[in-house]
Amino acid sequence: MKLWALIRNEFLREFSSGVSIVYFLVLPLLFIVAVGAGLSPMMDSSGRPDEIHRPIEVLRQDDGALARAFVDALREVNLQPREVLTLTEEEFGLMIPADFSARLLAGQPATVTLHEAPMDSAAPVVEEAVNAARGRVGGAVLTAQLGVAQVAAMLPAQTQKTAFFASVLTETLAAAAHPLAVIQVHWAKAATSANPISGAGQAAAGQMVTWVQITLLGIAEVLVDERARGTLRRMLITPTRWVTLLGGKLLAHLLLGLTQIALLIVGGELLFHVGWGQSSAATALVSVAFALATVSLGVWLATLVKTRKQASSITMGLSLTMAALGGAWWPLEITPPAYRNIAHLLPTTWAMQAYDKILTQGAAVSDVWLESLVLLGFAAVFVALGLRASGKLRA
Amino acid sequence: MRKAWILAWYGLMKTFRDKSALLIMLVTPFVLTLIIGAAFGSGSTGPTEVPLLIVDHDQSVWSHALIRHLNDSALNGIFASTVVTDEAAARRQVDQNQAAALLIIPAGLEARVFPFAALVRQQLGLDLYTMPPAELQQLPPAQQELIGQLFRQAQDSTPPPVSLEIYGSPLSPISVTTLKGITQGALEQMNMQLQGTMIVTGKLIELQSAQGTPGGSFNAPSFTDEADASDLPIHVQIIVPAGQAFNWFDYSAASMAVFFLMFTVTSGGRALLSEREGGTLPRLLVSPTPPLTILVGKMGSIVLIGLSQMLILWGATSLIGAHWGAAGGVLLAIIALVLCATGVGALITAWSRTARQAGALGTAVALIGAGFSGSFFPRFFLPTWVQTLSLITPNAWGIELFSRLQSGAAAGELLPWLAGVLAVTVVYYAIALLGFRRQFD
Repeated sequence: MKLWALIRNEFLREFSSGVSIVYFLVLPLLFIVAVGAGLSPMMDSSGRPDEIHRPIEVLRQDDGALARAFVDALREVNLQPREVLTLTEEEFGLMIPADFSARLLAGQPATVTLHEAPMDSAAPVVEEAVNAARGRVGGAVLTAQLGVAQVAAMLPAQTQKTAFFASVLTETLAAAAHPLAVIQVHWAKAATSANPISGAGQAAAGQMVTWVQITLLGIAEVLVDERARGTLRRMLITPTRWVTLLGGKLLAHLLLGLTQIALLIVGGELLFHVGWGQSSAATALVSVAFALATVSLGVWLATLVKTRKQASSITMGLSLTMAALGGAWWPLEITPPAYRNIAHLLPTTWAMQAYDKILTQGAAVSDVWLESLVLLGFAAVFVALGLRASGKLRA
Repeated sequence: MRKAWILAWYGLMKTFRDKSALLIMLVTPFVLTLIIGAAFGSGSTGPTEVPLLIVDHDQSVWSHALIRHLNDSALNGIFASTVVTDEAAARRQVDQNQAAALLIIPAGLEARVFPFAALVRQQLGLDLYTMPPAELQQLPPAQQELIGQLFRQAQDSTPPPVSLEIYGSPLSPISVTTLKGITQGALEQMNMQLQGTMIVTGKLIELQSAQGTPGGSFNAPSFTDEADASDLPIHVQIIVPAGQAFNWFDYSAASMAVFFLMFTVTSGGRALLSEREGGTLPRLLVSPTPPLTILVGKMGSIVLIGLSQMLILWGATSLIGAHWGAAGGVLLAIIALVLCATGVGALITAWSRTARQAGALGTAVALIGAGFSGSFFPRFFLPTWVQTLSLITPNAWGIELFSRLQSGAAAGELLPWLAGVLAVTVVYYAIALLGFRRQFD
């Protein structure tokens, strides 16, 4: 009964102001939109690389066959060439000089100029694609040049050599249009999940971890505030045990966090079609384990700080830092291995790993037991540390 | 004026003595920049040391060449590959996320890549890859005739492409995409070299027949990768705007500083309301100090705090290698941005009833501004309409200004953007003034 009263009190306090709803639900959903849109260019083309068509402006000053072949090659390497009369500064642009074909046909090297778009992280992708087109056309030219060298003795006249070169080049470019192989991508355990994790999926899991963490670590601020106001000491005068009191606070915040998780999961499903519903038991297990680990960390934090302001700053700073480190802001896949290893010292990393498995592979409880166990381990350690120092909360 | 300055200076000193304020103002953005530096230090956003398994059912020079290509140093260690023989076990490893992907090279790659060699091996038991051309010429005429027939047969037929499979972990979609792109590129290059060699050889045989000079040499084609890229007759010259390419670490140093500047200015506004609630503001107002001086002093302290925060973060992140751009331009941008951000702080203070309300509203505004302006990922990833709409926030103007400076823009080139910041700032202060009149009259 006392426990119920404590939980009810915490819920009433949390939602005493309309602003709480903003933090509890509105902001996280808005962030899923923003971060999902931000991650989309990096992640949503995954698995369908043939559909990536980065636009590139082409200023083709040469009307020769090789210049045209280069533009075709750009198309083949999944760029989207658009011929223009002047390159604009904001876009990727390629300039093919007027003497491009003539120089190559004369056995001399030719240079194309790639103008990169300002502050665009797609630059390496575009550079790689232009180099692939260069390899395609340049490779054909090189082969034709080597061929001419091989038959040089048999074709004494320069005109004969030029004709031989041109015919080898044309035939090679035409023949190479028949691919040696096609590459098919199949996703592991994708029977229940048609696609790998999307930008919206990564954002939904990541933002849920970030915002729920703020709510759960918020217990530190509540406990420190109650200590400062003396309400904790006053409650201890009543026939209520300290363990009941602390347990009630912890349970209330745990339920708050789980309520938020449930709302964000439903919101993610309804608004962004994130496939959370594949394994409810696994989602519930991971969520409870993550919430327990985080709320326990909050209790321990409360014993380390002195003022409510400090608790508030640490809650916000720690939440953002642990979320960023743990792969809630961007996929850990793109970080170096050493970073990934260090990140596994945090509960957020294990939670994200489990949520990603659920979203992409429809993971069942048996697939996320390790992550859940590690999270419960974090919870045990933080609870032990918190209880050990809990005397400070009563002081 | 002196009174306003004293008030501003007092606010600055008070903030810098507050450990929790310093934690949010300086420590958190610095640590987040460090984290982002560790994650994307070189500016690259691609995967590295991707655990890749390869099953080679073809076991030919071509499949070996493809595997060599994936391990080539020119790829800068994107893949940490292991060639395995048990396909089922390898699939299980990917299922269990112990490897990012499995590349399965089917038997029959060689028959598609170089059908001539496969036919010669099948019918004559000869290995064209290891056989010296001179030895080939010494074969009995009947065998040479058969080789000629096989060559023509191989040239006339275009076998269908073979199918390579990538079995990828859905947890590693970016790595799988990268693997597919690199494998496709290598196969293209292989195809080009092979077709060229076959065409040259065919023409050579034709010429020899026409000129009656039999006994020409045949060189089996081979696959050469990046090692020979410098031999290609086409060169690519890359021009980076203003000489500075995108770097996520630099970008984050500035965007995180702007993000946490917003927390500072909004909490500064909250402090003003706290003073009113605590009674210190009314006591100040009964002193012989004009209300405007008090307001200027209080707002001045927020400006000073914001400037100090940005200058310290600029200096600290520069020390760990972040590039912010030309010093003059950075200084101008910081001043403009702090004034603009302070306008938001003033706006929230002016229209909030209590300090708590201002605090909650301020944090929400700071977070929404950061989320929709591109503080957590490159701004240009956002849809255009979001980029445009976000220009109502100082975060977006800050990121735009610093991105330009980081890509090498001079202070003069910033003028249109500074004018934009100024316009937004005027709007903020105008609306804030209305609120202040309503609240404090």
